[in-house]
Amino acid sequence: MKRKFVKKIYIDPETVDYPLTQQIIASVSSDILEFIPASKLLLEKSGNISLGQGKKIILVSKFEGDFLKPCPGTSRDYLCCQYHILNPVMGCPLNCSYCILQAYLNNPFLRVYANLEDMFNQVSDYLGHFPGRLFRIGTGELTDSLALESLVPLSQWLIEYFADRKDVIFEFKTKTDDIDHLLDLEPPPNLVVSWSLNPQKIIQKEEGGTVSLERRIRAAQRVQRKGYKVGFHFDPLLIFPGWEEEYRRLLDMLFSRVSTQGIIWISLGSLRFPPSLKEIIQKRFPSSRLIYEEMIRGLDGKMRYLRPTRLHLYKKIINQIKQVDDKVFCYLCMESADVWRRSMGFSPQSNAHLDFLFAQSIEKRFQDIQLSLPDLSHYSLIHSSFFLKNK
Amino acid sequence: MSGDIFPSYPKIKTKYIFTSLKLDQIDNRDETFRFTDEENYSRLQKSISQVGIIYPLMVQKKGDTYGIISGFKRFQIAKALNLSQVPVRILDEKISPELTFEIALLSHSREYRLLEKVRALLILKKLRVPRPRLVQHYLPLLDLPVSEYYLESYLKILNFSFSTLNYLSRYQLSLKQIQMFKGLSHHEQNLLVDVAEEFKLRGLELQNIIADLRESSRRNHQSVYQILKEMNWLQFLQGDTNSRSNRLSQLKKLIKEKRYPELMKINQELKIIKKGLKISCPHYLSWDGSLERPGLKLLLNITTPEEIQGLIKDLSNGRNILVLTRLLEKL
Repeated sequence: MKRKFVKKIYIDPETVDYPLTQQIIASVSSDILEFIPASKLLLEKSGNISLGQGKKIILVSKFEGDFLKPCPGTSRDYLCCQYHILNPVMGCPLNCSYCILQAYLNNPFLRVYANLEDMFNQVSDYLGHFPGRLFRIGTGELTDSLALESLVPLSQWLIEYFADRKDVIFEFKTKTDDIDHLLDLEPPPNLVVSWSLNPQKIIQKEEGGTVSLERRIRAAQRVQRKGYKVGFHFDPLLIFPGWEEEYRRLLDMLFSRVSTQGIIWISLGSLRFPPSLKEIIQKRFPSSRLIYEEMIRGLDGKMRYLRPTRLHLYKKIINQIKQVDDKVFCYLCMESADVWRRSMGFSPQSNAHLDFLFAQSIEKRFQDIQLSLPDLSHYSLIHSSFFLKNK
Repeated sequence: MSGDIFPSYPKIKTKYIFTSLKLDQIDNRDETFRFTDEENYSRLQKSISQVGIIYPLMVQKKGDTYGIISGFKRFQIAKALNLSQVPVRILDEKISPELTFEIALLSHSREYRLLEKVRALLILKKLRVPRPRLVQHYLPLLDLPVSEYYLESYLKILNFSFSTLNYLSRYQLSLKQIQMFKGLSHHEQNLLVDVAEEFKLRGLELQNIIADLRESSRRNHQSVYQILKEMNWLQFLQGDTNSRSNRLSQLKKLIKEKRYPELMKINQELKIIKKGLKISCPHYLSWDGSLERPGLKLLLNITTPEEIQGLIKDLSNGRNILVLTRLLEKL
C-alpha cells in the first residue's frame, strides 16, 4: 500500500546515485519529486513548515554523523538497557500526541539518509570494537521502523546486512501493519518485529495515523506464524479513566492471539516527556488530556507520574503478563532500581547487568539464535567512549 | 484659515479649514471613528477650564451637521463646561472613510493603549481595509510588529467579556498576559476578574492561578466554573474576619490541591510527621519533593561539644527513630 500522506519528496542531488535514492525515485510519481540541495532546502523552508506539514515531506540526503548511537539513557539515576539506535530515518509520519520527537528534532521533515553503505561501515566498525557481546539495535526510536516502507524500502537493506550479524538482535518497532514485505522473506533468527501497544481508546485519541490495536495484533500474529520473533512495548503506559480495565483487556486480547514463547521481550515505560513538550502538545493536540495527570519532574528533568502511580501501573501489567507466562522477558524503560525492585521483585545491578540479562534470556529461550553463553564482563564497556575517541 | 492637514506627512494631501463651530452644530452620536479610552477626563477637564481647547477637534460635514473624527472627549468636556463654541479643523467630506480614520489615528500624539489599538484595528476592519494593508501599513502606525499573528491576536481580544476588557484596560496588561483568559467562557472570565480585583492580582500571579485551574479542569473533565464552584470560591471573596492575604493563600492552596491532589497530600503528611521530630540543636530537615530520590537531608548547626552529646542522645531517642522511619517510609 502506497502511503498517500507524503505530498513531496525532495532529493539532494548529491544522493541521486545511491541505490536507495534510485529505488525511491523509481517508485513514486515524478510530480512529487524535486531535486534541491538539502542545505538550501533547510535554510529556506524548514522555518516556515509546521511539524504537521513536515510529516508529509520526505527529504533524501546524505548523513555525515553517527548513524548508530547508544540509546540516550538520560540519567544515571535510572536504569537504561543499553539498546542501540540506528537512524537511517529521522522523523515520523505518524502523529502521536505524546511523541517526544516533537521537541527533539530540529527540523520538521522526514529525513531519509541514503548513504547506507557508510551506515553499514560505521556499524561494522563499531561492533568490531566490542567482541563477545550481543547488541540489540533498532530503527524505531527516531521514526516508526515500517511506516515509510512503501516509499523508502529500507527493510531489505537492513535485513540483508543484519541477518549475517550473529552478535546483533535487530528490531523493527512499529505502530503500523506494513509487514507484507516481511512475509515474503525467510525470517532471519536474529530479527525481531515489535509493536508499541496501547488500548484502542488511546490509539484513537492520541496516536494519529497509526493502525488500530486489532490490526497491530493481527500483524504480530501473521509475522509470528511466519517465524519471526516478536516484541511488545507498553510505552508509554498511560493513566486515564478506566486504564486498569483497558490494559487488562488489551493483554487478554494479545495473549489469546500471540504465543508468549515467541515473544522476545516486553518493555514497560510510563509516560515521560521534557517540560518543553507540554506546550507543544497543548498547541498541537488541544483535546489531549494526558499531560494534565499529576506529574513530577524526575531526576532526568523529564515529567513523569508520581512513583506510587508508576508502581501501580507496572505491577498491574507485570502481574498479568507473569500469570500467563513467567518466562517472558519483561523490563522497565528508564526506571530507578527502587522502582524495579518494588514492581519486578528484583533490580539489575547496573545498566550493563540489565543488558547482560537480555542476552542471558535470549540465549536460554531462543536457541535458534545460537548465542554463546553470555559473559557479564563484556557488557560493561562504556560505549560513549567509542564516539568520543573517534571524534 | 486653511492648510495641509499633516505637512510633515506628505502622503496625506488633504486640506483642512481651521475655524470655530457652535456645539449644537456638532453631532457626537456617530462614534464610527471613536477608539480611545474614556478615562482620565478630570485632568483634561481641568486644563480646558483653565486655558481652553488647545488642539482643535477634527470634524467632517455630515448633512446639516458635523461629525466628530477626533476629539470626542474634548467635545464632552466643552459641553459639560457650557462652552458656546469649540475650535475645529474641518476635513473635506469627499475624502475616503479609511483616509479619514488614518488622519484620526495620526492626530493623537500619545502612545495608544492596548485596547485602543484593538478598537482601531476593528474600525479599519469594518471599513474593509484589505488584510495585507492592515498588516503592512496600519500595524506599524499603531507601534505593532508587522505580522499576521499580531493582527489576529489583537482582533481576538475583543472576544473577551466586558469586565475582562475593563480589567485589561485598567491594569494595562500585555498581549501575552491577556492570553491567560483565552478559551474561558465569559462567565468564567468574569469570575476570575472578580478574584483578581478582590486580591489585587495582576500578571504572573493571576496567570499561575488560571493555569492551575485550567489544568485541573482538563484533568477532572470539568469546566473551570465547575471547579471554582466545587471549591466554594465565594467564601474566599467574602471573608469578613480573615485577612485578604490569608484568604488568598487558602484559595491558592485549594487550587493546588485540586490540581495536584496526591503530591499535596504527601507533602502535608510529611510536614506533620516532621513536626514530631525533636532535635535540640538548630537543624533543618528537608526531602526531595519530587518523590524520586528516597532519602532525607538533615542539616545541623553544631557549635559546642555538648551539642554533639545532645545530638547522639536525640538521634538514639526511640520516638525520633520512629518519626524518621515514618518519614522515610513515606518517601
